[in-house]
Amino acid sequence: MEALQGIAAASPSKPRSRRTGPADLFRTLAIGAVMILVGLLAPKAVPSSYYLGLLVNAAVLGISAVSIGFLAHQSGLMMFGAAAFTGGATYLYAIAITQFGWNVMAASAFTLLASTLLSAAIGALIVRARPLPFAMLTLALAQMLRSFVLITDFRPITGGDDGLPLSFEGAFFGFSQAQLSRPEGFWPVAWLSLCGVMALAWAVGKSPTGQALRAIKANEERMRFSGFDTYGPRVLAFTLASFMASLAGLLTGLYTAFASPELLDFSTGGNALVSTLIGGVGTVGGPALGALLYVIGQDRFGATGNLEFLTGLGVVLVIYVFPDGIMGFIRAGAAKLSGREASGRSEGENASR
Amino acid sequence: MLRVENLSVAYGSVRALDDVSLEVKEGGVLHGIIGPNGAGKSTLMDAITGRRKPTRGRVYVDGRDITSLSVARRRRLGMSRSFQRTSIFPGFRVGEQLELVASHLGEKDLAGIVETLNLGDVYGEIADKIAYGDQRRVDIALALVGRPTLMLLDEPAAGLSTAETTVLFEHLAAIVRDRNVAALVVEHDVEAVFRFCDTITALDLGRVLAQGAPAEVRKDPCVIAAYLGTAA
Repeated sequence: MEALQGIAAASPSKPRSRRTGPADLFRTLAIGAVMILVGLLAPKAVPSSYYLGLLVNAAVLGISAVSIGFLAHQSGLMMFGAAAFTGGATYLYAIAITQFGWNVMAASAFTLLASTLLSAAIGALIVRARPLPFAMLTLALAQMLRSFVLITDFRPITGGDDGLPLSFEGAFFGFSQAQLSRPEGFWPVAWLSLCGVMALAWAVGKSPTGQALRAIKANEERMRFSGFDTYGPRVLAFTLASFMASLAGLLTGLYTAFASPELLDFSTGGNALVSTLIGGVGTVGGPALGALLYVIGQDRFGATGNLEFLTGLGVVLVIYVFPDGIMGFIRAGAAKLSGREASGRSEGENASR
Repeated sequence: MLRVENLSVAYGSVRALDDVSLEVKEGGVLHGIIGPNGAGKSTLMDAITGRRKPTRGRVYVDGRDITSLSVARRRRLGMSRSFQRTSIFPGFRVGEQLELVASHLGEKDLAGIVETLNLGDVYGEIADKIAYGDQRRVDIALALVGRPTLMLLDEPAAGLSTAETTVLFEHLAAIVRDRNVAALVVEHDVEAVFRFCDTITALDLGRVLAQGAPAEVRKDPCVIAAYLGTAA
């Protein structure tokens, strides 16, 4: 009876996923603010432009990985073809600059808007698919786009095999193209974008929509029999994930000033996918951490001349030793140290952290 | 309340339901559906709730034709169901899932449902980690949230002992009475159905064998021959 009185007092008609009290929220915001500040100061701590360049690559890859992890965690859908959205966005940006002659801000806004709208339309078609067919559909989309940009007839627009070099007039939030092309200049843009994407994924995961998405993942039929629309939230999750991936594509265009067919290749999406698996999908920080480790690993392995072999070996070992990803391992260890049982967390509470 | 007219469902050349009609006129009534395996009981539930599209026939709730409405729309109109195989949200705490659905459907008396179904002790537990009997009650609680006017319960006592079945049916009888809900219950435990249901429909091979009060159905020669046997 005491339990029931407790339930009544807690106003049961309010979802309890929103357990983040003011203290928790303040702590999270404080951690986020510190993280942003520390990140912005990174150029002072990193010894060379080369290593800062690696961090920039990790941040951009991290955004793609967060998008994959977000969709996998919230909806149980894995994007094999994230390259369709990252590479596609880079091409949209490049075409807006080279074909439409727009300034960088207009081209960037167009890229994000058009990518998001296209993603919503694509999501409306494919989110009903089961997880594996869904994954293959995204992969097929990326391969289709890659083939499209290579079509000779479209070469004047897409650059064909050669890709599209571009240069823009004006400034992107005060940064000129020369500044953005250097790691020191681009780092704040990449870091703030990564933090923004992580904050977005975290906030959606904590929201009632996030809880409904995880309930749909757990038992879609029961959700429909509980009066929920199960289609709309999945389209929304897909659109949000694609928006994040598109942001990574836009950043690639801004940083490299080049759109190449390679960006639409499976390996590009594969890098983000592997980063997600290394870091773990249950948190927003996991994929970002995975991207950092992946980029560092690629750099180190590349220096030996056995990049593919060592990458494959490393990925297999990491996934074998840390089945929930490295962040999952860290969280489990932290929970053990603090006396909490990590496995005791429910799906409802298990919003992306 | 519920009117089913000439409902038929075919799986290829097999007619799982054949011209079934039934009516539940008012709330506060427990209506049992009985029949041997393959009689079409679960198919009838599926067709009424929109899980399966009927090949023929119509379903009306409060005079409104709901045959073409989606499952979610029917739920929001007050038709809920539980499943033969427990259908809860694995990984979610009992309270979380009830609160999620209650919030969506505007349920104000979740504590009352929890109390009625005696779920207070497992409220904070992860639902797929609790005892099977408790999971069955969570399934029913999910169907009860949102003040439905019509509940369809598919073998709510499946896997329960005789004593647990009796307790569950006592709960159900109290729920339909207190909340003025009409409930359609498919159940294999015939004695529980005859004891607790106000009206009964007996099915066999997709057709209605008999309908009426428990005493009438129990005496029906077709029901005895097809399902109950001479000892009944």
